[in-house]
Amino acid sequence: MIGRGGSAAAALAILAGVWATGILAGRAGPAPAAAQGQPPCVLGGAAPTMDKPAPASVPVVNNNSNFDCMAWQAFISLNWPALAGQQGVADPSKPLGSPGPTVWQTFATVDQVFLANGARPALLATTGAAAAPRRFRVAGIVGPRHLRQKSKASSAFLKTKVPPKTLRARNMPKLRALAPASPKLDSDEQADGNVLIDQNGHFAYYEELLSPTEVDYIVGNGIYEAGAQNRFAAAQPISLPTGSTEVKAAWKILGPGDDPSHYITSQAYIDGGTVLTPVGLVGLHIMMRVPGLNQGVWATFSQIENAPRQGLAAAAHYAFNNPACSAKVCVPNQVTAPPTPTQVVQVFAPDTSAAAINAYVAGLVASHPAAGAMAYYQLLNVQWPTSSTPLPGAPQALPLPSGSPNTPTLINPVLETFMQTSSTSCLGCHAFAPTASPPSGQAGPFASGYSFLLLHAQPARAAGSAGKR
Amino acid sequence: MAVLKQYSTPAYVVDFPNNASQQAEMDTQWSDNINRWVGAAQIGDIYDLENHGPRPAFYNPLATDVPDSALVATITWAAFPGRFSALFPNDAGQWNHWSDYGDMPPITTDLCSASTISPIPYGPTGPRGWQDEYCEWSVARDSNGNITSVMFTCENPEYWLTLWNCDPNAVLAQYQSLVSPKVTLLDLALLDVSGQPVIDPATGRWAYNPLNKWNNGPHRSADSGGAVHLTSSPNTLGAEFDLAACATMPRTNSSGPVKAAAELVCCALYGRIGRHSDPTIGQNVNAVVNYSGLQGALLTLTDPPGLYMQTPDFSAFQTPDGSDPASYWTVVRGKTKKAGDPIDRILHATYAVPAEKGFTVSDITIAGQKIQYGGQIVGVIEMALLGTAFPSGGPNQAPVGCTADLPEAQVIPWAQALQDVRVFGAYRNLESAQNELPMSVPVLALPVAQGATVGHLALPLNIGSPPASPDLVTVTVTTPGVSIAVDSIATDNQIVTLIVTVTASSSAAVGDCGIIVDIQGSPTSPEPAIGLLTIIPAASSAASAPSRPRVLRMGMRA
Repeated sequence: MIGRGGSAAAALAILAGVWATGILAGRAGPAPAAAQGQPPCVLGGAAPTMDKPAPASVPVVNNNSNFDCMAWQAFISLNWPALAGQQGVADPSKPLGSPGPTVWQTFATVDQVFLANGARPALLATTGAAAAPRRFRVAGIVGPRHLRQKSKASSAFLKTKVPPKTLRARNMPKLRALAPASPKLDSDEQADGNVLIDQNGHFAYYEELLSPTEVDYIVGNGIYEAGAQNRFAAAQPISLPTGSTEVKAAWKILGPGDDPSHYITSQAYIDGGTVLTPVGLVGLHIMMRVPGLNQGVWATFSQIENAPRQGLAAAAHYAFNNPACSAKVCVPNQVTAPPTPTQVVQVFAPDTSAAAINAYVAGLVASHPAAGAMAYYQLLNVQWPTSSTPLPGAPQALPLPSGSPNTPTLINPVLETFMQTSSTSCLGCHAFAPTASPPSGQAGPFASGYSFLLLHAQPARAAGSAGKR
Repeated sequence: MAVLKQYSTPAYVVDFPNNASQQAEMDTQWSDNINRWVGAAQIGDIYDLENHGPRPAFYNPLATDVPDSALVATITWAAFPGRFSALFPNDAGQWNHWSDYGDMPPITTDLCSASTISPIPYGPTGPRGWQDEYCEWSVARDSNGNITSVMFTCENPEYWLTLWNCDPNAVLAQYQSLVSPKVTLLDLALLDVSGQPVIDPATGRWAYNPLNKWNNGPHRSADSGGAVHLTSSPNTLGAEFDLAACATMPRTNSSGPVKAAAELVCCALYGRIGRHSDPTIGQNVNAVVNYSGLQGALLTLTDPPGLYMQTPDFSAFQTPDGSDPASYWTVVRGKTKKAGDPIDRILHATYAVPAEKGFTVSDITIAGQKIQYGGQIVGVIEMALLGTAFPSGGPNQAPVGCTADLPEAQVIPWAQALQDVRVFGAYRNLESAQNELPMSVPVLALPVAQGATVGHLALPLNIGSPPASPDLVTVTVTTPGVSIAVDSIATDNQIVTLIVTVTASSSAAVGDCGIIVDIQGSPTSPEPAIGLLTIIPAASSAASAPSRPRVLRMGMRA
């Protein structure tokens, strides 16, 4: 759910400080009235609305501002209250911010799609009947979050045969160097295998989910199993259909110093525990497969109180930064031993056009009080191919074309805290996403249609043998 | 709003601040140039009108009353060469190096078809041809290899050719200010094969060398190098007008309307796939005109036409002494936006650390990585231009199919330039020596005075095989009293060229002329080539020499 009663005006003050003056003003003190103004998306770019769960459509005119608007609409619609009993469907009768799971929170989790031994998911695909009610297994989805599944760079990925050159080229060497030494590969790990610890000494947790359209494609083509996946990819390209959406969410345990009204919230069982714990969304990656853009549209959002921007004056409190701690003592963006908090600094500013649309969306909250928490989120940037290029035929070698993305850099400081470097981005990385390791003697891996989630597929083997791949 | 009286110089730049009459002459010449480019762009590719024109949705604001309600669309793209990642996705670690040194491997991918091809040399060629996003730069390093300054430019070459025509000393003064006080007029002159300056009979002065040693390549030292204006063959303003106009045409193929950026490039054959600029500009123009709900939409590049740098995003920069990294960015020509301006109009800028600071640009980090290449800074620069569009209320243009390069027999002979043969030859030799494409240096329209006869002129054609005899060729001028006689035919640097004489009667109308080339046995163009020849009053200075657009189309897919 989206927290209620927060001071949207305070959030606006922070956003306005970033946008208009480049100075982070902090959250203390009175906030200016929301000045919504004209949306920066024009000429075929639909302005985001909180009035209804509108579809996020590819803008007619392909420019950053319009894709920013598309991304924000996606964020709003994905965080819309879900229709009870269905997956991935918004309930337009409920206003944004109403209690209950949101649309994306009803998506299938990776663990539900890619089962041990490559078993067929207990999800009933509804391919060809998109309008029909979803009939996926819902137990555990609409309820609390289970924050313990593996992240996209978990053991499955680390065991793939991605050439070292590929990893080096994508600025990913630490992925292999650090992860094997980790005691476990659980949902508290980022893409590079490191962990992020908040100011209360708690891990940040991550989960990845797939929209029903994507699940239909995976189940319908049998590529939830590693062997079948590679046979499929050898014969035809894996091409996630339009409407496929993947999200990767970052959560923190809400605790001292955190105002729940500033967060999209949920309840979670942590690390297999049995105690429901309130958690707040601190970051969200969104990948959307859309018509006409073969490389998809990518966006990332962060909660604005996560961390200060590099080089700017800090506010009084952040979830992942202690402004009172010197850089010598609390080295920015360095891995720390739990429970020592990570001193996160946001290296890259939100894109200029993203900052403008952030301020616009924050202004929408004034007329949508239930959605007050929305004002505490910011779009950092979008990534889309300026030269969407056709994909090669099967079998596809890595990497896939990047389509000359609009920006070479797209990083979320709470999802890729330790990878905040130039030319690191969603598309730049996902162009190298491979299929799952094929069973012995079988060709592969191949390109996986820009999705790392397919790596989670296991081969159909007897129980207990999967780990020997 | 009303009909525009005159096109403005890029970013409203004034290069004769102390001489109003010279500035007025410069303003007039510049506006006349743009007027010709817009006219040519409206017609389209004369040799292939069936597929490439006309472009009725591209309007000329000198002739069109633009309503106050017109929309101004901002079109932005990344300044870093997009083709590196498009063509070589596996070599991300090399992109910054390539951007500064130009040592890219051969191209082995056809991006339009996603197929592997036999290796071909990387293009665009030239001293810094790969810097093809309308932003070029030149890096100065100290003896340790550390970067001391980077010079950026997005100024189109046509402006500087025009400025030279007005006053070579104005060009010299700018070079001395921008690059080095060592620059001499001789350094900037076009030389013949014997190393002597080439005199342009059209002006009576030395011709300008846009690839001179102070505006050449990606490196700068005390004795050479610099980035005064753009040099990469696609980086011309004339070509941008043609691209924008071509992109107004709705396209369709067997799958229906073609709307995506790269598909449009491959269908309409404008620009190059993989660049950030052309596909984005084309898609935005195409979408605004055809799919934004503006009935009978008309569009043009907003005055002052230009492709402008935006202020870089310095958020990830850190200096060793904690000083503001943005303080080392200096806008030298052009201007940053004021309230109400949608974009910056930066033409020339530098990023340099003063020697007294005790560190170099290379000691500054971007997201923790030291600046080793100018391309790293380019990585945080956006480019932008503006388009102005409004609904005319008229019919929308009917979609046209995809185009293709025509077989030789179907190519309509087309005059591409008109220039003194010695100047023409010297430019072509220059291009060859600099590994540039033939005809990549923009050619200025030829001024001929009323009552004058000018011979020894080169009139290059777009055909591959020369006519057997001059007797088979007829050149017609649309202006009464002006004629062109074909004296001979030459093929030099693989360009078929007519050697002609222009005669203008004393009563010939002052103004631009159209030229139609007719070769027996070949199709004849229904439209004249414009922007090649202009008639000036008999008493007028011969220095009036506007330019015509460069239209690049052939062989650009890879």
